[in-house]
Amino acid sequence: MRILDAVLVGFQFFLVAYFAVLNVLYAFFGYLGLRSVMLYAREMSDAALKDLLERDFYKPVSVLVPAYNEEASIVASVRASLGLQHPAFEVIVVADGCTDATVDRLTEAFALTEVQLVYRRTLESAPIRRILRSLREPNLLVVDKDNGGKADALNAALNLASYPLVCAVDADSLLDGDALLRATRLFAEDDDVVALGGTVRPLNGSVMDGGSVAELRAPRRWIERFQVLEYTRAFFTGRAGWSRMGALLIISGAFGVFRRAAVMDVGGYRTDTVGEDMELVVRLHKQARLQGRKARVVMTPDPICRTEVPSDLRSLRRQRNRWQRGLWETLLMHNDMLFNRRFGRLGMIGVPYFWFFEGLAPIFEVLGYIAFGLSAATGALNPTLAIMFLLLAVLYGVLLSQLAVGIETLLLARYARMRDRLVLLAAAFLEFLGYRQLLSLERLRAMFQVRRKRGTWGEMKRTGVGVGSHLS
Amino acid sequence: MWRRYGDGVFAVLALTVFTCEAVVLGVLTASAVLRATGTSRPETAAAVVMMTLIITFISLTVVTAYVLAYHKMSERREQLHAERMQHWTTRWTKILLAGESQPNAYLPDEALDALLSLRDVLSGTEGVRIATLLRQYHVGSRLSHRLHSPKQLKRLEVLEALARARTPEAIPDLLVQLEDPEPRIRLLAARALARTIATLPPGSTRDAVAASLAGALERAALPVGVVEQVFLLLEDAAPRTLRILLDHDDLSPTLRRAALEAIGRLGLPGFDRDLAAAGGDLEPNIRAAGLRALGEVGHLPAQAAAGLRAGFADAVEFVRIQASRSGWLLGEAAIPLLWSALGDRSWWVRRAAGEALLRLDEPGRETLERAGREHHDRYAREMAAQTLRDAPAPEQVGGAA
Repeated sequence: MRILDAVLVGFQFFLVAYFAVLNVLYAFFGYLGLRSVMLYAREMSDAALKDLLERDFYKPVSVLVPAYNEEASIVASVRASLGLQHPAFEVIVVADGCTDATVDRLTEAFALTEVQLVYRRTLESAPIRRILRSLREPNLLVVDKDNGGKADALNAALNLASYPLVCAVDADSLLDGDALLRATRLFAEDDDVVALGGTVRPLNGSVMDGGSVAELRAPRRWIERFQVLEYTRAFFTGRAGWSRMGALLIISGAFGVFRRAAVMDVGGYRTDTVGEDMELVVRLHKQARLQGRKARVVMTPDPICRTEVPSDLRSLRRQRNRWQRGLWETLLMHNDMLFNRRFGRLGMIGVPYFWFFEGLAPIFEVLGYIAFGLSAATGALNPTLAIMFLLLAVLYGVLLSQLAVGIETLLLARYARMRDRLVLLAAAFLEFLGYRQLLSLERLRAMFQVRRKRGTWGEMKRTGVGVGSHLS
Repeated sequence: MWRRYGDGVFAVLALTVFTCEAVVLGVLTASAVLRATGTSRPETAAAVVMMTLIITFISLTVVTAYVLAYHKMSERREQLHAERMQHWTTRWTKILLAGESQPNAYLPDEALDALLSLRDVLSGTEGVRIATLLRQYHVGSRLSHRLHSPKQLKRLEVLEALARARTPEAIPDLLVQLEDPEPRIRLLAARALARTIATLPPGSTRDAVAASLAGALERAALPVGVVEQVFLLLEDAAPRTLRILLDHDDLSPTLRRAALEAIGRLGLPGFDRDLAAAGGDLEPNIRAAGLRALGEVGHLPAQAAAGLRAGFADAVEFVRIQASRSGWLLGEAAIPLLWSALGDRSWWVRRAAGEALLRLDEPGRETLERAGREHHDRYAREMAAQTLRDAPAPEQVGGAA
């Protein structure tokens, strides 16, 4: 009994230290994120962007849209992509062995016709059944291929891409009109930039008009509201901070722009992981370091991509399970980078952070709850101290959320209603009442499935990026 | 896009909160360690947690209050700002077009902002009048004075305003900013400087400023894309600046490449010697930039022909791509080279060769048709067929022309 007590007490103190270090890091990255927003807001005005556009200072882009059974949203999504403001871009939709009417919907909407195309098959992909070109939209290409997964679909699209930059976008996501212009400017200005991630924000709840967002509103379901907070924290504080440190390891699969040649050089997306987005970024960093080349992976607060987030618990759990497995698959594939000075800040700070504060976090969190129960049962718990500590954890979590929401208020396209802001404040408290614990358990479960379910995706129920609809 | 006001206060608030929290979390950890080793009493640990709790609660209250207040106040502020901008835009328009009387010497921020917006959209006589107004109100010197602010954010805002104002009085200060250690300041200073120089009339003053800019660019160590951007923004003043730069013997490869890219993008004649020299450069990026520029300018100087031919056999893929793309400049003499390039191991070279053959009109099309049938390389045959399939029919080309 004494040994158990000692272990429990020791673990409690470890948790306090872990909590303190993690939150100081969150705060540090939060400040860096805010600082990068402030600098970005002054670096590129609309007028300056227009100035460059008038002088043809841009790089053409191939927008790659992998789609699997997206019949509900694909037409609106492709229309939105075709409506982007950019002087030279193409949209390549890859129907990845769809079993629904995705291709039919596209054929009907865009008058697709089969074409014979000569292209280089640099990257392996599942067999392509046919390539279709739109008779109405000359810059739209649709690839109908056997199912091979998202990474495989992106590889097929990369083979067909004819421009030096590629932008990977999920079929359920919408880009801001000038997103490509803003993103590609950095590539045009600096040859060292190999990848760029923008900000991804949940679309649920917004009022839509003609495939674009007419008014931003907080979603109606709490499960979606919690995700609004998660995305706000992740993009406006976490990733922006890592980018400032030059150690950004993740670019969201929902929206990322890459230099095509750099992606081809590292062999494209890996198809044996569900974390293909993170894995590619880590490989781009790694290869550049090993070859002694400069390679910048950056995240900018603009451009913004809006995506549909899961609105039911089942889809959300599947998504988080997949993310956690993807994270571990990537960390294990590149475990040689951990505390390896050769990789600079990446090896000494970035990768260790992801191991200890992202990968292992669910273990510590769930063990914390277990230790809490055991300590209470064995009398090793000081109830007053425990309640105060729990309250502190909640308050600190809410404080970090509020700082991220504070950055969001600086956006011109923000949640306009005061009501929504109050809802987000309430959500910051309420997410501690079950939501976080549930996701921690799912992430913990995912850790034990890394080997067994390698490369396996779950399906997500789509509401559909509707036109003229009010989502959720 | 982002709001630019109130973020400084929020940053100070966030920094204060984070610092306080870091300190109290440090104290909390230390007290936990002391408690674990038995060197402190349980009451002490409880007091530390209580203190942490109180500080976090206060921080949360302050941050939440700020966020909510900012949300509310920014709505009102933007409404007022829009109204004032509307008022000043109307007033300036009347001053410019109907000769109404000018305001007194002091211009509020909205008045200046409205005037700068008009400066962006109006040219000709009105543009000249706005420039005169900006001079009368000492806008250039007023803004330049603010460049001495120690705050980076303020300086960035001023540099953007100067880029819009394009007042020659600010040029000396902008040249100084081009040597700032902060890359963002150098970038915005370079943009403002280029836009300002573009408004100067041709003559010795503009030439002198162009020479200063060329010198400053050499010291500024800006990325190649930014330098190229500067040349594009220089407009009519670009050729002179490019000439001065390219005449420097020890020009850095970055600047040389940016200059060649700009020559191509602007389609500038008169750089034959430089384009020819690029063909023999050791740096592949420079060889490629020179070859691309040749194609974009659309003129092949006699001394550059050998470099263009050599480009087809270059070991570097992207140099061969540019050589193939500009190959049509050699006329029908290019056909054997483009025939070989159609069978290159690089898909992109094959594609560029196909497109270059199309630019040779009838002889090129005939070559593509023949390559589609007879080329020994399967991929060359496929590419030739694909190029012809993608090409507009000759009559369409003629019609468009």
